[in-house]
Order: sequence, then C-alpha cells, then structure tokens
Amino acid sequence: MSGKVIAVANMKGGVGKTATVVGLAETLAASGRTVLVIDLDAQANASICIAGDAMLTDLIRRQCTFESFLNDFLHKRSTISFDNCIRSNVSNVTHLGNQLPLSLLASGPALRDLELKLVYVLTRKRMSWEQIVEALWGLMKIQLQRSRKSFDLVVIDCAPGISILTEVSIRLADLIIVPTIPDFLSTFGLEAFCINMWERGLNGKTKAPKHLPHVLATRCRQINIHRDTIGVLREEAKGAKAPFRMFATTIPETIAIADALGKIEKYPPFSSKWTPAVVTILTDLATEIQGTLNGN
Amino acid sequence: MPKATSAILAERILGLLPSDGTPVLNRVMRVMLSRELGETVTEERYAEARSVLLAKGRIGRLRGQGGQIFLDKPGVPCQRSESPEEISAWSESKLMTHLGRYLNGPFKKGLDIPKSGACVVEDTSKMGPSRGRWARPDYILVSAMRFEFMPGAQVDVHSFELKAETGATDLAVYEALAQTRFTHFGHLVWHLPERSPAQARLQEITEQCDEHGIGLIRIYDDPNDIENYEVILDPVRKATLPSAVDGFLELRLNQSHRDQIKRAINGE
Repeated sequence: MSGKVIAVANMKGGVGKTATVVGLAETLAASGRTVLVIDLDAQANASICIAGDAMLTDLIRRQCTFESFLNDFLHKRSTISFDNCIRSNVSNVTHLGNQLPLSLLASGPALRDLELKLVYVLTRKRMSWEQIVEALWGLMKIQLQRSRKSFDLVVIDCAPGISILTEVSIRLADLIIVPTIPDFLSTFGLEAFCINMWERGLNGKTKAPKHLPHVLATRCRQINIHRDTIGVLREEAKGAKAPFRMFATTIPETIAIADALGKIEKYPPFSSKWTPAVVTILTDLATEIQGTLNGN
Repeated sequence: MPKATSAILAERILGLLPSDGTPVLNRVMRVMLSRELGETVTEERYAEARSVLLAKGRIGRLRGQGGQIFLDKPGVPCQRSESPEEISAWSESKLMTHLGRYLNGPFKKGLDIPKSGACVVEDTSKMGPSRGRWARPDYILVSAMRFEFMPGAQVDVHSFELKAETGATDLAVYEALAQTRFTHFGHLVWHLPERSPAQARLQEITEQCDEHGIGLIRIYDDPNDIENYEVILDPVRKATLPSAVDGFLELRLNQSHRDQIKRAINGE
C-alpha cells in the first residue's frame, strides 16, 4: 500500500471542508479502505468529529498531535515521532458490525500559534516564505513516505486561508479538493485560488501535480443562484485551460449532515449516522475521487 | 506492538461496562475496546475475553439475542425489565412496533422530504386479501412532494417485509420483490443479532436482494435501540404501473394518511 494523498482546502471558511473530510473518510473506510485523516486546522473540528471530545483531550494531554510533533521538531528534541502521533482505531462508527478502519493525526488549538512561531523563528534566520514551505514540505514528505504505506488513502483537512501548512499539504497532495458553496461570494476568487495552488505546486523541487484542483459544490440548495453558479462553474471547468475541474457529485445542504457530524458520543452504524440519502451521495463522490486518482 | 492478551481485554471490558449494570451491545463494546487500545479487536479475540469473564461470573449476557453484556455485581439490581427468555423471543409481532418507530424516525428523516411534502407510514400487516399471496407488506411508507419548478408531484411507495432471526430465507427476498407489484421500492427488514447462527445466511440474502433490487435493512440485537438499524442495501426504484400503485394505496391508507398525501400532491 502507498496511500494517495487528498488535500481538502479553500481560502474561505464555512464551505464544508471538515464535513467533506469526515464524510469522505468514513465513506472510503466503509468501502474497506484504510484511511488516515490528518487535521491541519487549529480548530480541530475534524479531530473532534472523528475521535470525539474525550479522546481528543487525551491525545492533546499525551502530546500525540501534529503540533506536538512539530513543536518537538522545531526544538530539535526528537522525542515525539510522527508515527506515534497517528492514532489508529479512532472511529466510533461501525459498518457491517466492524469498526471503520480509520486513523487520525489530530491537531489542537495550539497549532495556529505554533505555525506563527515557526514563521517568526525561521524568517529571523533569513529564510524566505518559499524556503520555509520547502523545508516543512521536505519534513512532511519524509514522514508521510513511511506512514502512508499503511494506508490506502490519506485525507488532509486544511485550515481556511493560505498558510504554510496548507501550502505544504497542497504540494504533498495527489488530488486537491476545493469545497465551495455555489454562490457569488464563495466562488469569488475561486479561480485565482486554484491557479495559485497549481503554480505553488510547480515551484521548487516538486513536480507538477497530476490533477488540477477539483471543485466540489457543497451546501447546495434548490435555489436559482446555486443552480446557475454550478452551471457556470461546470462550463469553466470544461475549458482546455481551465484552472480547475469539477466533480459531478454535489453535496446538498441537509440537516442529516449536520446531525451526523454531531454524533460523537454514540456508536452508530455508518448508514444510520449519515442516513441512506447522504450515503448514496458520499458513495458517488468517493467513486468519482477513486476514478480521478486512478486516472479515469 | 504485541496485541493485548485475553486477560488484558477482559480487564478493559470490566472497566468499560457501566457500573449500574446497564447492558452494552457486543458491537459497541468491541468498538469501545478497539478505541481504547488503539488496535482492532476481532470478534474471536473479543469472544475469548468475554468467555473468561462469563466463566468467572463477572459479567452477564443476554442470551438468544447474544448481543449484550452487563456487569454482574452481587447486590446490584440489573436495569433490564425483561428476562433473557423474553428478550430472546423476538417474534415478528414483537418487532413490529420497533420497526414502526424506526421508519417514522431515522428512515423518514433520511428521505429528506421537504416541509411542503408529506410522508406517512402505515401498518399493513393485517390488511389485504387473505388469500392474496405475498400481497401484504408489514409496513408501507408513502412520500409525496411537489417540485419547485416542474409541474406535477412525485409519489414514492416503499414496502417493508419484516423477518425475525430465523425467518429470512431466499423466499423472504421473493416476498419483498413480489410486493413491488404495487410499490416502487421493496425492502426486506431482518432482525439478525450479531452472534446469531443465522449470520451464515447474510451473504446469500444480501446477494439475492442486490440481484433483485430489493433493499436490505438489518436490525442488530436490541430492536429498541434506533442505532441498531443498518441499511445494508438501498433498493432500486421499480417502474410499477401508476394504476397498480393507486389501487393499492386506496385499499391500504387510512383516511388521515390519504388526506395528507392528497394535500401534498395538490400543493395545499
């Protein structure tokens, strides 16, 4: 196994990145694939949704989080290994009677401060932004090269905006998913963001990403503005020089998704957690993603 | 890293069980253990550890269902109201109420019918021609909604055939299929506890359902718990003649449900 890496990113917050990460990871796991979720958002929402509050608190207390690893690396202590921060068997969800094969590299609220500190310390050492990204990318690549062998897929939840960690994730990714609400404000700057991501991928020692960023319309409602915007995005995505592609699957705004994300204290079967209607949509999305990753 | 031994698993089980004697599903306990240990606890390893505790009299189990264990402390009354004998006898008639609750709750919610639409569930187990073969689904669910722009309305009729632990055979699949003579979606609902010997038939039944486009809903262990219902297969919509559906609904829906559906169809 050598897990393909999927980064879920967007400049804008509240577009459904975490819902996409959690839903996709659990759907892929329910289909029998071993999945690692890496949470690079200091809000730690993906970590809470997957591991639950109590387990996340325990992981933070025991310094088994991404920021603990990064902090340790920054101080050159080498006491915390990347692999030891990956928590296996985290899911509270079952499918056909078995726990979903889902692992998590959690984050915590200290990640944001640490990222700022990282920039501060390294720029004082006269490193440019690109050099910092390059260095961090090198570190993550080495760590992931070892870890990803244990997984079929690695899904990264990026923080909103462009940060060092988001740029690193984009460089690491085999596929970038850009969840977007199909309205004026949410899609404003989408094209620039996609071009930016693509070009970042071309910098330095990295090869061009194999796939263009893929836009996923999320929180869709049966209203004209959403239908029209999806139509426009689809047209743009068809162009030969389009900066992005678009998934055929769209994620509706539904209470079932909000409900599902909140089921952290129970032990629901997968289809009960997401409801049959949402499972169908997530399965379609997972199939499309697999197709893209397989080059279909 | 070496996997936890049976003795360690047994100790962890004792630590995880509620001290007041509330039973926990085996499925859930296995997940709790896996999460706690950070490793997959297979059914075999779990069963081994549970056997150790059962032999020592530290835990009790709900036999028949085979699905739950509870802390067996002397002097602490068990929280269950039903005796194991009663619980093991989950006949179709006993399962009916619980299935109705599930259909009216999570299943209905999952259909995501808009507020302007209607969705009703009717117990049809005792309706219909007494000699009519396979024409009496246990439940039907009817949803009706109008579109925002397109004219007309969408009406979907689901039929549910409920089977107890030992009742699901290939004939049950054909029974569910036959009911789609009058409905759009056929479902087989099977109460199949986790450690049931009938589990051996699950794959065959799943394949049969898949082949015929019949949905399969499994009820694990305690049907009281809504979390124990799992949709294993979604049904495929059948192109049933509108006249057949219409005639069927006319005979099966009560007046209140008829009115609700009609109002939704007419956009009132």
